Amino acid sequence: MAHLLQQNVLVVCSCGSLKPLTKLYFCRHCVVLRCGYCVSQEVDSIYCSNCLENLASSEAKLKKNRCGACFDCPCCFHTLTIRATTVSRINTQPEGSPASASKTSVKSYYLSCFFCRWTSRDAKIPDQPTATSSNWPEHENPHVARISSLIEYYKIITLRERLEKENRMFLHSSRRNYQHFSEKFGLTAMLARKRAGLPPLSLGRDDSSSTPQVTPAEASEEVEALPENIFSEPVNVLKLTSLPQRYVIPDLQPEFVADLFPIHKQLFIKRSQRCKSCLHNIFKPEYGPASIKFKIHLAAYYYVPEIRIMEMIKAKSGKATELCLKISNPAQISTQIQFLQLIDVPEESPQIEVPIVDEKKDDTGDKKSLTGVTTAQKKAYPLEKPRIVKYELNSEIILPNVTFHLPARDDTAEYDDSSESQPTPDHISVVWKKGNKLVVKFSVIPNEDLVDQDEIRIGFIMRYTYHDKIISPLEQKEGKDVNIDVRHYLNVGSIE
Amino acid sequence: MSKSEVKIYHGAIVCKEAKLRGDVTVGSMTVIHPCATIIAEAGPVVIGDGNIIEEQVIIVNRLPENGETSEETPVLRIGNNNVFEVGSVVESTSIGDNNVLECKSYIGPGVNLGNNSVVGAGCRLTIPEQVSDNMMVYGKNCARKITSDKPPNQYLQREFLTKVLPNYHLLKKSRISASQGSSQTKEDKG
Repeated sequence: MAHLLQQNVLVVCSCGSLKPLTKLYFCRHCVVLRCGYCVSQEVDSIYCSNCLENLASSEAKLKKNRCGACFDCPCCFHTLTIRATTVSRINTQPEGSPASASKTSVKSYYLSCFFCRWTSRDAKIPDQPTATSSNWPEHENPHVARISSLIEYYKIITLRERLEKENRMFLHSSRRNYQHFSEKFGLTAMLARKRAGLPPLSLGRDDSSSTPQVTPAEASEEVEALPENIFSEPVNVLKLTSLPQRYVIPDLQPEFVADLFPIHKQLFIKRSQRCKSCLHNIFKPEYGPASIKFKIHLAAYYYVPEIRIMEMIKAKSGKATELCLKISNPAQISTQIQFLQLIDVPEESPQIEVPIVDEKKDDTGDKKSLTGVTTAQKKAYPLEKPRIVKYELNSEIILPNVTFHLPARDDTAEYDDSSESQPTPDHISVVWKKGNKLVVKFSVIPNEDLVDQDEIRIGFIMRYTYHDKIISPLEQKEGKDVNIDVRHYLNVGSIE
Repeated sequence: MSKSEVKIYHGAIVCKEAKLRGDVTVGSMTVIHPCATIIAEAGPVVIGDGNIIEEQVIIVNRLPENGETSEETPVLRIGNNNVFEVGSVVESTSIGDNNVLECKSYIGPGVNLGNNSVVGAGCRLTIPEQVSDNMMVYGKNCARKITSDKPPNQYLQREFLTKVLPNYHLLKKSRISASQGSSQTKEDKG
């Protein structure tokens, strides 16, 4: 698990940001890497993480993006749970005779935090007779009237601004005949109102009288005086709330622990990611909040060969040291891997994708390569100019000048004991090979000016072949192989 | 000090694998899991009734680090109905009643726990103090608050353990007299 989160091997996304491979996406249609910054994020569904209730966005907006049924602890912000207690109640009959007094046990419910043991009884909320949590008392926002008047006011302002904008566009247009738009702007309805003697509906054009007036907030110099006892009584920190506890209830901001009130749980969203240049979905979760599966799941981790550092090295500055990197192919198709220096391919230009000719299908090779070049160049055009990678390299890496072949991933191979009889490694730099994994030996020469405990930072390009299966109707039927360059930046160890 | 000083009152369930060293007294109805460690190094350890001491718990009456020796021998007193959850460490000298020490919590030397307190999972109390009653210590910053209700009663859990533990573990025989020691073990059927 740790290698999934490690920051030592970083990959450059098509937008120029450096991320570990596990945080990147791979757009199959553009054949480029994408990251969270360069995809468009879309809200799929809104749900409560506790009761997993799915809410429509309008409903969520109405509820201020909070769940109506679930609460968070105002003390430690964990989820509150409903606990039941049985309270025996003595029912005394009006006659008052002891014989008529009957004992009945009634269940009552209160909210409790299992983490910090805060209960709704601390907030002096009476126990509820039912477990359905919709009837818990709500605290009243003291400024609710002011807020709603402001919202009303700004709603009208936005409406008016939109109308003005439309009018401006309308004036600029060459069309002069207003009759076309009589229906669109409700002119007939206005005429009808006029005839009936009703006041005209405001179109928000120049009748400022229709704007509701709001009193602007005024700052006052008068500050409430401190209570008398603040100087005489010792401060009891246990009774005061902390700042996070105050700010999580912004409308009350309670000062004392006793005034804390359960917070309605904030709703969560499920997001889907979309590639900005080809508008295809890259990630799409299943709609239901209880499901953790994905409909579309184009993580780079499943498409791009992964590089792991076998062991962090300890090197002396200026002396060549051996570095072993493990490369594994996660894809279902075998791939060819080459290593290039960073300077071999200029950083600014869009990725150069030269389709290679598949030897098995040599007969159609020429045609394929031609179409491949055009589509690859057309598709890989970045939307925004990628930012310049800021990663200071301080060492040199010597790369083997060979092409490594990595077979497809085979999940059953791990259980296969006969894999000992693997063919011998095809190159001197290959240390170990099994299934879709390969360990390659590199030589790292740290710069002379590095001092003790300095990080050794190297960079290279991994060029691998990717079988593009996306078929465009204009081109050939079966997919094509493209070369993809992935720029890697590694922190491989430290100076001894 | 030898094992033979261990005193176990009637009704206590002390697994044989539990490490009890020195002058340890275990009150009745107390349950001690197999991998708990209780060491009376500087002086006796007295555990009251109805406590649950879970796996990997370490309760030590430690010798002071600076080598000082006071005139009276320090006694580690633990009250009744406390729960020591997995991995908690106690080096204090006094613990009251109805406390819960959650997993991996630590009570340092000189920290005296009152009653009905809860030390949250992973919380460490290291500065000598008298912790007031109903204190709740929680979270990674060891935030504190006074709770209004007591920690839940562990009666059912204790009953269950009293029934189940003898089925799978050899027990140290509960006896008050120390002369025969704990070499004899009660072997339960099942």
